[in-house]
Amino acid sequence: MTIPGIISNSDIVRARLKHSWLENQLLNKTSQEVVYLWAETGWPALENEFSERVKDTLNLADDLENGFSPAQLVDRLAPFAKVDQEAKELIKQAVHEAYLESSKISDFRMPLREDAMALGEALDELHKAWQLPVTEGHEQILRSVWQKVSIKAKALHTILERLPKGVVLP
Amino acid sequence: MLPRILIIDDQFARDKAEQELFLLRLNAIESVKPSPKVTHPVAEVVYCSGQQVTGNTVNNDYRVIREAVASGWAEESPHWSLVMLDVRFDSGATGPGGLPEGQPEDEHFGEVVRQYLKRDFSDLPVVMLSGKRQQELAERDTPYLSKDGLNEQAFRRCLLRHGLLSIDQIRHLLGLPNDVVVLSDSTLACYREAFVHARGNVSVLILGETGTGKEVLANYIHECSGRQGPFIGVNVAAIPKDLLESELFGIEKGIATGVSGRRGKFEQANGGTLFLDEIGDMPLDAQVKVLRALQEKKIYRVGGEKAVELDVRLLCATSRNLAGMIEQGAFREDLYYRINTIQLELPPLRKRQEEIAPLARVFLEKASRAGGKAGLELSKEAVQRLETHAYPGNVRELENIVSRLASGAGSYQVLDQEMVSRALESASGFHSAPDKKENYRDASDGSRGYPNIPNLTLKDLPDLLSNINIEADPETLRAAKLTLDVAFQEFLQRVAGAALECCRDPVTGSLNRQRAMQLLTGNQQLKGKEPARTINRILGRPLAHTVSDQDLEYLIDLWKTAASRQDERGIKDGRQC
Repeated sequence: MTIPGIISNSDIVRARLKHSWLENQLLNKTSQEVVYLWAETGWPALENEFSERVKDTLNLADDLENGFSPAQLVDRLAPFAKVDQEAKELIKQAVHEAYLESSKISDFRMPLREDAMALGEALDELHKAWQLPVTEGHEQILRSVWQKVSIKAKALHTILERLPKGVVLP
Repeated sequence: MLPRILIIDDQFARDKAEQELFLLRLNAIESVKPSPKVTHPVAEVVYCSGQQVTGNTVNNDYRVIREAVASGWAEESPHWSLVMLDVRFDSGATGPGGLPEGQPEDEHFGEVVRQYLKRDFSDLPVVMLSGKRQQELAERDTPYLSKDGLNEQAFRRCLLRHGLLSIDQIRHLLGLPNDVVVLSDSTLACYREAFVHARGNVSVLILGETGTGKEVLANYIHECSGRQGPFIGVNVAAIPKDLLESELFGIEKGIATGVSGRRGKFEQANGGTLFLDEIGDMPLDAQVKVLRALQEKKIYRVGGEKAVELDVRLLCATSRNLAGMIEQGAFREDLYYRINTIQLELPPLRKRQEEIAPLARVFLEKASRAGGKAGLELSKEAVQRLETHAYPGNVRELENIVSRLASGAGSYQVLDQEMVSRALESASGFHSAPDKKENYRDASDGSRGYPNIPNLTLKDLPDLLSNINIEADPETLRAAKLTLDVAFQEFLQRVAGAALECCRDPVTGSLNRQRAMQLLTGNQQLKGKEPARTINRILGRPLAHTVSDQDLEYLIDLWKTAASRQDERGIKDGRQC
């Protein structure tokens, strides 16, 4: 269960990766459109941006437990303002442990890492194919590598969709 | 001028490659940099990021958006046809790769902007852009367009549904051919609705008086539907009741001696569209079978046991009051609901006067082509005279009047007001509703009286002609010549149409012109080039002219139109009697 209206930093990252990267830059393209970019306009995001998004995803995976933890509310919600720091730390630790137990958030870490790395590899392959000298059948190679990218992007999108949307209550 | 679209989306300002791909998907051009790759653009697009960049920080800013909207919303500047507004805008410090790191309020910035736009530009048409699928967005109150699988057709539909458009822009978006005249608000609304629903497989019921162009609209829906199969039209009223079932469902080979198998209209339309015109005239027993075919998506030929699977889009039309017929038990309620998912109503021609002149020009050109004539024109006064008529027979009546005018004219003739008046008077005489007494002329010599309106057959013709009193008066003869020439030619063309229809192959639908002309002339030796020469004579064209299938269909159309007119008048007069 998440708290409506309370957004964690990890949630901002999750939403940005899912929408602005996967949906708006990868999953929205057909192989024909990718070939068009290759032949006509170039694709600066493939050169400069996508490797950063893979890193963002790995960081999200590494910080998964803390990112969606209700412990962060203790520092943000008004009722805790007057509580002294030592008590706050104790409360944080207790809710965090309860949340880890009930949410099973840690179970997402490995699949998220693996899917992010798999997509990263597919994007590297696409990047290499992008730079190959133009030969007959080059388009076919691009289409085939793009298909792989699409499958990996879809898998990562699925797991990002399954992540909590906001801070999780224990 | 193309429809102008303002797209407010942070992504396109950041990423030129995405911007270009989006234009290709919409088949649109950017107004500041038209793309040579898009040759027939649907619309012209202006992008707005909705953001301010300061150093390495990007901020979402409504003021940027308000300024962009106002630039195309002032009285002196062309209006936006539509504003497309993204929901999520990424803001904050720009990280590696150029994407801002994001803020909690980014998620719904578009929704906030929509509220502000509503406050500041109350009439502005706004559609939200979303990454979610269209099915998930259908239930929302605000209009949404899914970016998922967005293409030109969906974009056109969205513009037609929500856009603020001029008549020319609507025609442009509808992709109407020049010979389909749609100019009045009511007809445009009907065609807009038709386009929006054309892609789905829902049934459509087209209402309208006879001759309003219901079949043209049905054909348009089929053209826009993307269905690969053929468009098959059936005028239910023109088929004898006993033959209707076999016409619709086909006949199994060998059900009786000498009977060859034949596909029905449902089978012929498989993969395409079946248009049942005048469905209100369908007998109840046939209605049951049509209903079953629609429910089960399969049919059985008459005498057949093997089911034929169907993938047919059904369009129906009627000039009758089906709801009233249901109350009287003359039309099945369950079939009515099955065929009436979407209802479109074509207004009568008298309620769309602005279409009369352009329609007349289209028909004049068509008749000129068919008659092998060039340079026929209507004078300004002639057009004005045409616009004064009420057209109880609607577009079909106008077409008949113009065809008659054209067939009586020579090339490069300007058809004047007087000629039009004569044609209209003869049409008005035709349309006046005679009472029972006037229907029959008493012959002074005691011979049989002849009906001067419907249901005369060819067999009646010799007797009818022998009863016509011809005065030996040069003035009368001179005045009669033009109208007689036209009437005889049209009559002969209708007989030729009927002969061609008789000689249509029941399985393939192809027309045997040689056999038809043999039937028409009674000359069994008519072979080689002679059938084509005979057809050219009937059409009033040079004998060496190449006869096309279109010419043959034109003759059949003339026959069919007159036949259905006779039927309608027979029904009306029957009621009056």
